[in-house]
Amino acid sequence: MRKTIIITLLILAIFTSACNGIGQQGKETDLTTNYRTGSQGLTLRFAPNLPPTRLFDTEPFNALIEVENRGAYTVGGANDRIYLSGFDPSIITGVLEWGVEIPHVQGKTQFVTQGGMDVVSFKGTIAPLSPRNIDKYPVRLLATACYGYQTIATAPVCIDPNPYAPTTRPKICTPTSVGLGGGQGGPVAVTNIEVEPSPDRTRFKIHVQNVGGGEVFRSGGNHLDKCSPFTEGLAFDEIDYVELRDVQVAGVSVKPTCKPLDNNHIRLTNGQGQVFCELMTRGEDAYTTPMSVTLDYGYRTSVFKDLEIVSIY
Amino acid sequence: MKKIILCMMLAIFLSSCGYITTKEQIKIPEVHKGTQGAVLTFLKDMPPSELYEDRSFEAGIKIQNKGATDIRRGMLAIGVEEQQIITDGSADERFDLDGKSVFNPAGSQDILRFKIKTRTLGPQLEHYPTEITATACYQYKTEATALMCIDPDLTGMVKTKPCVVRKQTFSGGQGAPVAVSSVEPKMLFHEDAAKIQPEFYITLQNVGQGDAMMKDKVYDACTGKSLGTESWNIVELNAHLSETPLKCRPEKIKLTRETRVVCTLEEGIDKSQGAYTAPLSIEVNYGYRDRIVKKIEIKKITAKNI
Repeated sequence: MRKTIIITLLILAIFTSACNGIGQQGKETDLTTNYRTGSQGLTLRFAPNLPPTRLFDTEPFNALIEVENRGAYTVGGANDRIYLSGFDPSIITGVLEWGVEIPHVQGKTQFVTQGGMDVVSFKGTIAPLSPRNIDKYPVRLLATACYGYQTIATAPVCIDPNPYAPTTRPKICTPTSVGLGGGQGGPVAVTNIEVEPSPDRTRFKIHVQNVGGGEVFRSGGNHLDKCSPFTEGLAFDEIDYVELRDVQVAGVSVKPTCKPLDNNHIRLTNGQGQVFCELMTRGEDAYTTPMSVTLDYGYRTSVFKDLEIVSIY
Repeated sequence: MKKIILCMMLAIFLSSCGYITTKEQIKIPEVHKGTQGAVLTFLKDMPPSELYEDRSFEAGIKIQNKGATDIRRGMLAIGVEEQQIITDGSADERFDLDGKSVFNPAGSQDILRFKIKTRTLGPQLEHYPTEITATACYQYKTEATALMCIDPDLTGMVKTKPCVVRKQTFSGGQGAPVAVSSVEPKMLFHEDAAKIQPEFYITLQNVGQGDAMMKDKVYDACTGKSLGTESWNIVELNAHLSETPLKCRPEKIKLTRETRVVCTLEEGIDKSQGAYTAPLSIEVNYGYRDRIVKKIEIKKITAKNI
C-alpha cells in the first residue's frame, strides 16, 4: 500500500513539474528575449530559377529577388531601393535603371522575433545575339540593395563619480569595459564600450564596427541615391561613415560631448571606428545605469547570380 | 522480397518511360573554334605517286571549309612544272563552301578535278621527280567575341562589382586561320569628366598553315601574279563594343608574329552605367592562301620500267 502511494506521488511530481515548472521557465525565457541581436540587416537572395542559369535569347527575362530583414529595424523608406546591374543594357533591355523600391519589410521586434520577408521583381527583354556574332553571353547579375538602417545598442555601465576617494564603504560596481558581442540586430554594431572614470566625469570610448559584410555610408536620402550602381557612386568622404544619432546615459543625452565627429558621423577605418563621449558626474556612490547608443547609416548589400544567355540560330 | 522486386521493376519502367528524368542541357557545337579555314587534301592516287610519260591522269582535290566563314567565289588553282606536265583544260576553278554552323558543325566540302597530262621525257631521262601543287585562295574573316568588363569606377570606390577588368587570352582560335589571341582592356579618363574611355589592346596572330593577304588580292595570289610585300599579311579589323563601333589603330594592319591593334571607344561611356559585362565583337577581314604539294615521279616507258 505504502509502495503504491509513493509511486503515485512520484508520478504526480514528475507530471506536475513537466506541466507547470518547465512551462513557467519557458514563459520567463520568452519575456526576456533580446531581439536586438545578430549582425545582419537586409539579406538578398535570387529566387530559384528566376532567372534560370541558362536562357535563350528568345525568352523573356525575369528576375525575382527575395528580401529578408534579419535585423531589428524596419526598411522600406522613400529612398530604399534595389538595383539589378552587371549586364549590357543593349542585350538585356527594359530593366529599370533607377531600381525598384524596397517594400516595407518589418525588422525583428519584441513580439515578432523573426524579421519580415518580401520579393522584388525585375522584368526585361533579351535582344537576339546572332546579329552580334555572339553564340552565348555569360553574365554575372548583381542585385544591390541600398537602404537606410539603424542600430540601437544598450548596455549597463558602471558610473563612479569619485573613483579615487578613500572609503571603507563597499562600492556597488567597478567601472570596466562592456563587451557587446554578437551585434545588435543591424549590420553595424557597437562592439565595446570602454569606461574610464575620473572625479566628476566619466569618459566612454565607444567602438563601432561594420559587421554585416556590406558597405556602410553616410545616412540620408542623397547618399542613398548615390549608392546606386547606375550613378557616379559614393565619394571617398561618404563611404565608411556612421551617423551617431544619440548617446544616452540614464536617459540623458551626452551626444554634444562626443568627438571626433564629422558632421555627426563617425569615420570607420578598415570597418572600425571609435568615438569618445563623457558624462559629468555628481555624488559619491558608484551606480549602474543603462547606456544606449543609436547609430544611423546607409547600407549596401549585394548578391550575385551567374546567367548564360544562349543564341537560338 | 517480392515487394522490393516489384518496386524496382516499377522504377525501371517509370525511368524508361521518361517519368524520371535527369536534367541535361543540349550541347551546342562551338562554331567559332579552330585555327583552320579551307583544308585541302589530294584524293587517293589522284594523282598517283608514280606515272608514265605521255599519259593523261586526274588530280582530285578535296576541299573542306573547316572554319566558321562561308567562302564565296574562292579559287583553287593547280600548279605543275610545265616542262614535264601540262594541264588539259583549265588550271583553276571557283568554289563556294559554307563554313561551320550549328546545323553543319563540320563545314561543307567539295571535290574538284583537274585533267593533267605528262609530257614525253627527254631521251637522257629515265625518270623525273616533280611536284603538283594545289593552291586555294579565298576571302575569309575572323569573328571573335570577347566579353569585357566595363568598369567606370576608376578610383576603386565600389567594393562589390559584378566583374573585374582584366586581360583575356584565347587559345584554339575562332574558327579561322587568323586568330585573336588576347584582348587587354584599359579604362581611361575621358575628356568629359562624367565619362570614361575604354581602350582595348587586341593581339592578332596567323595561326593557320597559309598566308594572309589583302582581301581583294586573292585572285592575283592564286594566278601567280606578283603581289609585292605591301599586299601580303595585310588585314582589316573592325571592332564594336556592344553595338558601338570603335576606332582602331593602325588602320593598315600588317600581321607579324604577334600584331597589336589598339581600339578605342572615343565617345566614351557614362560613369553612371555602373560596371557590366559587354561583348567586344572583333571582325578581321583578309584574303588567305592555302597550299598543298604532292611529289610524283614520271617514268619513261621502257622495258625495264614496265
